[in-house]
Amino acid sequence: MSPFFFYLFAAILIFASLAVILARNPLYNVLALVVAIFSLSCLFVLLEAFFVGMILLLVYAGAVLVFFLFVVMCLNLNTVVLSSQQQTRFRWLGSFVGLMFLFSFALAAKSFIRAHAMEPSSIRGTIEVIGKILFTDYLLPFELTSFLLLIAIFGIVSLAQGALSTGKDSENL
Amino acid sequence: MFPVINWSLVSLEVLMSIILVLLVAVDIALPKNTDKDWIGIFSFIGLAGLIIFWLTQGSLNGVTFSGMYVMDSLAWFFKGFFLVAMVFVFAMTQEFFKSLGERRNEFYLLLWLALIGMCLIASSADFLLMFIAIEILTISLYVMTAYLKSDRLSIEAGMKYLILGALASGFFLYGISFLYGAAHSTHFDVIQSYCQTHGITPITVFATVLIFAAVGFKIAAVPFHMWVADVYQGAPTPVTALLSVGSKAAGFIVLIRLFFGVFGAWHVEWSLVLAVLSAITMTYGNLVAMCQTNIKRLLGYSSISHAGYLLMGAAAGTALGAAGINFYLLGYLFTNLAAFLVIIVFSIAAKSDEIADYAGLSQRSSLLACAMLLALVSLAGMPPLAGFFGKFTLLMAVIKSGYVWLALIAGVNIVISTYYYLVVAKRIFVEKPHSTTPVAISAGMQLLLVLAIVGIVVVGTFQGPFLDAAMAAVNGMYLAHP
Repeated sequence: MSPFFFYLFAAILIFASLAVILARNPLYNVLALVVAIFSLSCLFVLLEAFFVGMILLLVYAGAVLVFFLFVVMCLNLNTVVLSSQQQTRFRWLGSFVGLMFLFSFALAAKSFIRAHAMEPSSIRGTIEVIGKILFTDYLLPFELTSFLLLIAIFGIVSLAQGALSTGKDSENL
Repeated sequence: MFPVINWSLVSLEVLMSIILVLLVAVDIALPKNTDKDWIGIFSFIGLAGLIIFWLTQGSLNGVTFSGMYVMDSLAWFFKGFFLVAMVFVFAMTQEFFKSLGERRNEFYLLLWLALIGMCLIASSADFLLMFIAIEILTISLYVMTAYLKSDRLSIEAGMKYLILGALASGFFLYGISFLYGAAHSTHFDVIQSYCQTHGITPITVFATVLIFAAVGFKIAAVPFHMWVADVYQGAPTPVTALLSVGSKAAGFIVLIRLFFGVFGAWHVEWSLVLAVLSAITMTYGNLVAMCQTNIKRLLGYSSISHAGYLLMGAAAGTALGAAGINFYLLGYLFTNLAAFLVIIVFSIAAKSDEIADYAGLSQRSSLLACAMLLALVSLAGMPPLAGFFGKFTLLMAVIKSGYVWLALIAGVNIVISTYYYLVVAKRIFVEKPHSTTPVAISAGMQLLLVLAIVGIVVVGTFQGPFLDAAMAAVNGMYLAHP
């Protein structure tokens, strides 16, 4: 059963990702990203990485993208259609580098399938397995992510706090 | 099974974390209206204690946290480097943010977090830990870059750095994921043995190119240098100093660990790429630096060109090349920090970073003029200062590895760079000043300026012990390529 679903979700993922960068209306961009994340999480579920799939849905589709939508709505961007006039200068260079990237990716992926396939059943992405790994082998990086959260808190406090009283800070700088 | 943790190896980072937590507590407990800069004072006490503690750690060697964290001679060397750099950056912050009042405290805390991130980068023996450590450093740098939130340049710099930095992090992770797919592990030891038994394949080319792109972003090598000038100009000057010394050194330690150690077996394939990038980077940096009018932008482009010189050591790929990188960074530390100290003192007095305003600085403050001259001449690479012997070591390393053309290009570049450094020196010493009011320098800044000058001269004249230390750092490295 899984090949069919794999190709189905992969196709949805590709089309949704294209829509993210090609759609002109910011609201459609965000919605397409929600669809892309959803199909990506479906792919993880097919790989039996249930926990990752779930987190992807909860965190990205659930929290981050809804937040994006709020921002888009608050800024009232849905009436603005992004213009396509800019970026002509680097378009050819960009396309060339992108194609090179795609080509080397294709080469890498091709040799990957031949040489390095893992049996999918050897790893099961349940919460239990991930929890065990996180708190034993990956204990240090896991604990260190708390520093990242701390930085986020400091950053928000210092950059957002007192935003109304601007002008005072830079007087003597 | 729960991993066996050797706490003595991680003690430096643990102490830093404890200091950080204590400072957060002090920050909360302090009354809001104190003028005294308690967090800054406690930070200096903490740094002094840590440097003394660091001196006792020189003989530590080992791996812990199930092979994630390594304490070896290279990590020890760079931790000391970061601690010394941080002493300067904290003092600069104290001077620069005098007017910022309460918000200064959070800035100190972010600096501490950046220090922890840099020390962890030096000790990473696993890609996942390395990624988290790099993120701790860079995310705190994003916040600090945009810290002057009512200054448009600062916000713009923070935004640019954030967007391009996020892209670089994405590349790094994508590269790691491919490497994991090939070697089935993120541990450096497993990946190294994979590299030794397998030739270079399309997957590993893809992975290493992506990883190099991320490292290149950190060290500001040429195709990944777009952020440098704007961020250097817009960021608060202490952050610029940290970016140019700390963040660059952190990038180079990753480069040494990966391209000298872990991917050492593939060096033959990589060496030419690194050499070409090195040549392009130094030439680009020097040519663009010539037409700058802002001193921070000038030092930004000069830092690109220095990344090019440093890449020569990576292209050489020998122990001498890696030791050359270490030694060069040591000289660069004092040289660049001296320049930034002058910039901070001057910008507070004159409220300007334009090179034109530096005219006649020698008549307004001989200490500033002298420090700037020594810094510029050392950056250009004149004997007997620190910059000369660093360049000499790197040139020797590339010539020994057979890249005579690279050494020639570097020679031409050194000549070009001497031109624009000396143009600034000429303004300071020859031209007439716009105003003759002497520039006031606080006692702390005077002390640090003298320290930096002594550092430039001592590292340049008595190279022996420093070069030995740089060499020892490479020789005792974990997973060094045989």
